[in-house]
Amino acid sequence: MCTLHPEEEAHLMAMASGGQPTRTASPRPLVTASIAAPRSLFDVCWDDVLIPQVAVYLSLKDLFNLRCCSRTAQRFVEAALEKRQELHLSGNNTKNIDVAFRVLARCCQRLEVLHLACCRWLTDELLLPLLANNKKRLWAVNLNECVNITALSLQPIIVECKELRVLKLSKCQWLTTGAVDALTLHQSKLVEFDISYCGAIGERCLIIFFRKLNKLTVLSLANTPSVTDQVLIQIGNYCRELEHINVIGCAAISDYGVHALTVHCLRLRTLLIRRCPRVTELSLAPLRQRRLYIDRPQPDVGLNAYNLNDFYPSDFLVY
Amino acid sequence: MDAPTIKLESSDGMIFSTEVRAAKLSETIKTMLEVSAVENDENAIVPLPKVNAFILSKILTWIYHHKDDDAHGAEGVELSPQSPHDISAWDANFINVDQPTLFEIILAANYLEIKGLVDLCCKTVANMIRGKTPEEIRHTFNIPDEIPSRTAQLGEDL
Repeated sequence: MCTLHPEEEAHLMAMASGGQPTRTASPRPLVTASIAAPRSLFDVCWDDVLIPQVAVYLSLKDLFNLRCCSRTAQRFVEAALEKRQELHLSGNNTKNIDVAFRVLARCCQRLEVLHLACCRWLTDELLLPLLANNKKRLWAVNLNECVNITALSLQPIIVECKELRVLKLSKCQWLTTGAVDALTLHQSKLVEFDISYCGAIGERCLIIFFRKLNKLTVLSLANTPSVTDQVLIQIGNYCRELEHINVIGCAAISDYGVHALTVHCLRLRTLLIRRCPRVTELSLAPLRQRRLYIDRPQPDVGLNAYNLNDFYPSDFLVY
Repeated sequence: MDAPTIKLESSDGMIFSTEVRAAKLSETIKTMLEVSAVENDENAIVPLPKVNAFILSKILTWIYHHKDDDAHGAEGVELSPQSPHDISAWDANFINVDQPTLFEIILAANYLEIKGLVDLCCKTVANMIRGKTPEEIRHTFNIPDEIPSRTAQLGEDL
């Protein structure tokens, strides 16, 4: 049922006692004791009906078109945006999107999911106000290929998004070792992480980072040069919940690193490992027996049986 | 044996009789029946002071048609909030009314807590907005133009 705002309750009380109240201006239509016939769309209760049950069916484009119709429509849409939980703008590079984003950054207060992949127009100046308003609830952030922001935008995400579980930073060349070190300190509950094509991160900081991520289930490290066997060994030792890993194009890894995943990551279901020339069927064969999806076709050549003794303890030393 | 019935009184004093099973699609009526323990009293009248006779008759038509539906909506399928196109032919015909009536049905269905009907009405309203330019939305809902055209451009270009 409709909820009354404090000024509306006062108004009704005054009416009941015969007084002449002064009505405070409110962006929402007043709710009276009996249902008055609504004259227009915006006379229908906002909080109980229009926002939760109509606005959810409308795209951002539809909402912005509605917002343009009148001042009341503008207030309504901004009230709807305030309660919106997801923002999907990935790949949206249309004209005026940056202007619209300023409106979103101002209005959105309860975002939990933020998808901004491939938004070339996105800058720190645009993103930081949105993050400031929504840092408490955000659990999924996708900034893949956001080439015009810097590590400055990552700071509130790293330090203040306590609920963060999914972080995607593929092709973010601005992602530095320092930022990953900060992630290590503040974000140990990540379940999905993507730093594909991030060339500025050092091997040692990754080794330390993965020691903290024992809840990780999805990991993408494709074409990240500093991913070595030592990094995979750490992942094997500490990320026991891992189900999907992408190491395509990580030329430094070999059978030793893959073996570490084989032994420890017993929930592994997907291994993407193309363009890793030092990884052979020696380490992939036992994974195939576990019915994993491996993106490299199985060669027809008969191989020698997989032998654990081929992997020496010295290969697993961590510096 | 006939299905048990209940009498409902509109705000303007009209009394309607309907099956208890159908009436219980309204959470409000269901609660009233449980609290006042009049479910088995065929002479008992449940007052609905916020719903007039015309709207109540429309709502009773809808709930009678849907009285055998399961909890997953009219077609027995859980519908996602992002799919407003899945309105059945019967529902589409039922909700093909003028806007003041549509808005009154929304308010009454919300007061009576008939989730399926509120959902139908809201999908209908959403479909009246979807894919339209600001000018078309204004025309659809008779909204007076009071926003500068450059602001309107924003929605068009998004």
